[in-house]
Amino acid sequence: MKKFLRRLARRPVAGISVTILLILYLSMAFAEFLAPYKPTTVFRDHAFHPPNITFYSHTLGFGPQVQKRVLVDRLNWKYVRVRGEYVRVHLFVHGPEYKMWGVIPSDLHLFGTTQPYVEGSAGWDKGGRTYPVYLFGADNLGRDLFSRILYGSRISLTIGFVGIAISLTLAIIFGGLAGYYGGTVDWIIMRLSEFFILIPGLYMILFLRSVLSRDLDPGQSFMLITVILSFVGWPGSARLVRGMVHSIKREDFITAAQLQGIPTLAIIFRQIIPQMSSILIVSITLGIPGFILGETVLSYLGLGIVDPAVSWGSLINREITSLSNLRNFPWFLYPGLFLLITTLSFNFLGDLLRDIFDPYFRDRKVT
Amino acid sequence: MRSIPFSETPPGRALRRFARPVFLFKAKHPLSAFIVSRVTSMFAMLFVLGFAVFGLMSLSPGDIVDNYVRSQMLNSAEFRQNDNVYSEDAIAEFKARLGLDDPFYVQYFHWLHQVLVEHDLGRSLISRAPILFLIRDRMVNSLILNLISLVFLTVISFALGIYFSSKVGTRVDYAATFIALFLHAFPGILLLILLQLFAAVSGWFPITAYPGFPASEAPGKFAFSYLYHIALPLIGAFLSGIGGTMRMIRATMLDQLGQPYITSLRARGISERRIYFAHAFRNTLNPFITSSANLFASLFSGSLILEIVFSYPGIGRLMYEAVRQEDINLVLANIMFISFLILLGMVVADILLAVVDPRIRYGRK
Amino acid sequence: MLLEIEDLHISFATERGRLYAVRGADMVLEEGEILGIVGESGSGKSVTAHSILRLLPSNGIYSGGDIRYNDRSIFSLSTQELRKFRGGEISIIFQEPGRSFDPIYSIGRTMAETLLLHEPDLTEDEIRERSVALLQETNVPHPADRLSNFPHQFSGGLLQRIMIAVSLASNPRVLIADEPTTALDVTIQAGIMDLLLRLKQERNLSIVFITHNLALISTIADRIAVMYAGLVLEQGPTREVLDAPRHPYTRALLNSLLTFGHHYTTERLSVIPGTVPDPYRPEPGCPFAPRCPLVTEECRKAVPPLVQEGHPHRCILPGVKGEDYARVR
Repeated sequence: MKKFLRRLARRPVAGISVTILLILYLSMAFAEFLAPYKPTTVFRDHAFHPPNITFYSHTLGFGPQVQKRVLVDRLNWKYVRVRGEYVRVHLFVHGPEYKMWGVIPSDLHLFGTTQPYVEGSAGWDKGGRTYPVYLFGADNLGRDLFSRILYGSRISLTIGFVGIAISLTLAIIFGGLAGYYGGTVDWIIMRLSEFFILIPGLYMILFLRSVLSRDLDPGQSFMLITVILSFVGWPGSARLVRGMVHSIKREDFITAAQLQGIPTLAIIFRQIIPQMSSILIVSITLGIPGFILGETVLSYLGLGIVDPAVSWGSLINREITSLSNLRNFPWFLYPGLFLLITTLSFNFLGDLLRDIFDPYFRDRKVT
Repeated sequence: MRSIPFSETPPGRALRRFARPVFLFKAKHPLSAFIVSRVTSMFAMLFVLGFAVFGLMSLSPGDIVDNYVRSQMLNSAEFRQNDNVYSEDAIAEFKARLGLDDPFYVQYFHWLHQVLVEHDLGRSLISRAPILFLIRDRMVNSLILNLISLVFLTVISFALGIYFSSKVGTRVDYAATFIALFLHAFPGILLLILLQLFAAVSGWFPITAYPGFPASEAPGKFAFSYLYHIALPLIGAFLSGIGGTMRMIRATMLDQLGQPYITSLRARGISERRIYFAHAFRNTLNPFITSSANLFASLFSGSLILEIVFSYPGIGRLMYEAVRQEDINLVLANIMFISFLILLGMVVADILLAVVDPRIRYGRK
Repeated sequence: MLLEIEDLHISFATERGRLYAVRGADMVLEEGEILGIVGESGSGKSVTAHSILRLLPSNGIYSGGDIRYNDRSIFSLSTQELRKFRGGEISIIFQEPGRSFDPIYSIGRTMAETLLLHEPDLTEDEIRERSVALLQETNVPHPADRLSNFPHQFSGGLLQRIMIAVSLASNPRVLIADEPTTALDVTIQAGIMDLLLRLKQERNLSIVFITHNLALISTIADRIAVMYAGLVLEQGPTREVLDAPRHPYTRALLNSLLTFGHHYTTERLSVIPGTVPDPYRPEPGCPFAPRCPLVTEECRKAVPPLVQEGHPHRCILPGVKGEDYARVR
């Protein structure tokens, strides 16, 4: 284990990837605290507002602050900056109330311009001290994109794990049974997996989404998408597992376990599968971005997460990322940036893990 | 007491006698026997898939079916109501007329009969156009696009993969592998959106992937315009795919080059060039075909996102639109057709594999 | 002298550091002779054999010594000459015949490839004739029918014979056999050994036979070289080396062999205590010192030089190492 960590440390890309992922997942966990606003908080007067944070101004000197803008063209939603008018951005402010993870009540936010804050008060929607801080701009309803990205990460990032959990469980069960028993069991499972491979993934998802009801609440649709995605993905891993179980099965320690009378299922799952742990870890790491992207594509097409729920995919929905919107409001692509960073990190990490675990890699030639 | 194996029991013996000609055929014409068995299992799977699809459709909530029925009723002289309000009884009766209250397997057989015997895939609910025509046109479009894309991708991946496998450990190789991984990890959909934005902003490329005028107007001009329009999306698809494919080919080549038989060849005095191309390369075709059985599938369905983003009239977009418009007929026909094509592709890939790799053809001695 | 290896040093650059595979190998092969190289795994014998044809992987480093064929150093050969040299003068057969063939080439095609390489003007019929003749020479049954078969359709023993046939196709004067029988049944083994002996007699083929099985090689070898930890500890005519070994390691090897009349129930098997040294970290002095019952302080100071007393060996302790060298319990 120590050697593994040392080898991991020696490669900077791994360290960077892990750090980035840790940051992302921690941010996701503490979204309520880190986001200045709720994802549903609407500022109708500030629709399509560009990002407005800056770090220096003549008026207020150094420090995070926000320059006020006013709407000059209501048709095209163009804003211009007001000279000299700045509002300070404070750290650790009291802002809109929330319940951390739905349990712990608080109103502390990492940063914001709302101090003091009273929701519903006259100052709330009308500028002044409570002029909103838009790190990444605002969408068509004036909702802060940064906050939405943070909250959206909860769905986007967890769907990866849930999806891969289901998919891999199926793969291990089926692959394990097929590889261990062989014969008829193997044949049946192989035909079954072929059947699932045959299914044209995205098309089937489209089909299923069209067939099943539209009126699902966000939680249900989340589960549905995950389940559908995992069902489409398991055969590949199952084949891998089957092949490995097949070869590990011949080892002597398995015969020993059989002779000891250990029940078959225990043999498969407590003895054989752990042997493949390195391959499974790599599979997991490389499989997660697939699920994240799956959800993204579905939401992009309007068939995944829909309002009021938020995910990165729903944030780059077809309607939002129309060409005219992107030209006028390029900050709409920020969710895409987060998506990119996430998939890159997972992929690089997974690739590196695969190299490290490869037994032939250690004695590889250095020319 | 040991039990008799099945093949020795009376029914087993009878089966064997019947099966004898099959075994003889298998021995004499292994390739043909293989093909036959694959094709048969393919049709079996398609049948089961259709079954499942129809079964799933029976799960759909009533409102979708009701909408369908309503739209049908609108078009039927007998049941039509101008205010589009129908009584429960009328709906029920019309449903019975359409055969929609039959159990799903009955509906399935009806549909099969309709397709296989009458060659009629039905009509689209929205456009009333015969589905067969719709699919056919779009299919050809998708096919051409994916074919061009695939050929490009494969050829260049192989070239690069083989080249970099000969340059292992050098800095160039390192950089190439890094770039390949980066491209592979870059979300395809994001790339397409960005490319389209680039086209819109710079004006160097059109933002749709299909010319604005029909081919019949000016065939020559159409061809050029077509190529111009698909250039950018193709670049996007190429960049998305090159990372993974090139790395795989490189890895497979390296794998082969590390095999003992390569050393054996070298020891006999065979030139490096021959070793690379006549031996290592030929042996990478096999794993490549195995791992890209999906490649044939993607020949038809791979461009789904591309078609939607760039408004390309392909079968992917047809499906998407059908789903959005709840055009059940079209969705159904589409699914079955696509599945059929994918299965066809898989069978072709399997056959190709058997041709290329004698070990599969002849089996163990 | 047909083939001479002098003080060869070979190491490899790996992720784990520098691996010193061969630290001083000397041996001689005369024409029409069978030379046996004996040693345990990791002793450097395969590396030595491969290096004769310059077949080392790209991270192999030749850091000293020379290999000479017909008095010409093989390191002086140009790429063109090397290609003719490989197969044309010296051929090699490997341990695992199943993995030494291109699986998608029929054996007829493999044969043809080698034949055409060294004789490009052969016609198709001639190729077929020669292939069949070679397979008959190595006792492969029904050669004409089996030319179109693929490697995976043959058993291990047959495949080894085919490999020998292919290696003879280029008319070499020397055949290197790298543990050719290790992966085969004992009964098949005997057939291969007979074949090699016959080839030596009929074709005047010189053979370098690498193995870890001392008993096996003593049946057909004219000369034996004993390798350990990258060094040739002793080499000479077979009878001399076996009857009067001048290195304690050879003596220990001989002691560990079961001889007729001794049985494991009547006395314990003789073993050599300890393990082979780490090839990544070679220690100064004789590599066998940590396990040698006759070791002295001098032994640990430097690698023993090659001395000519009797037959060439590397031990500073004089004389033949006799039976009295204890059977270690």
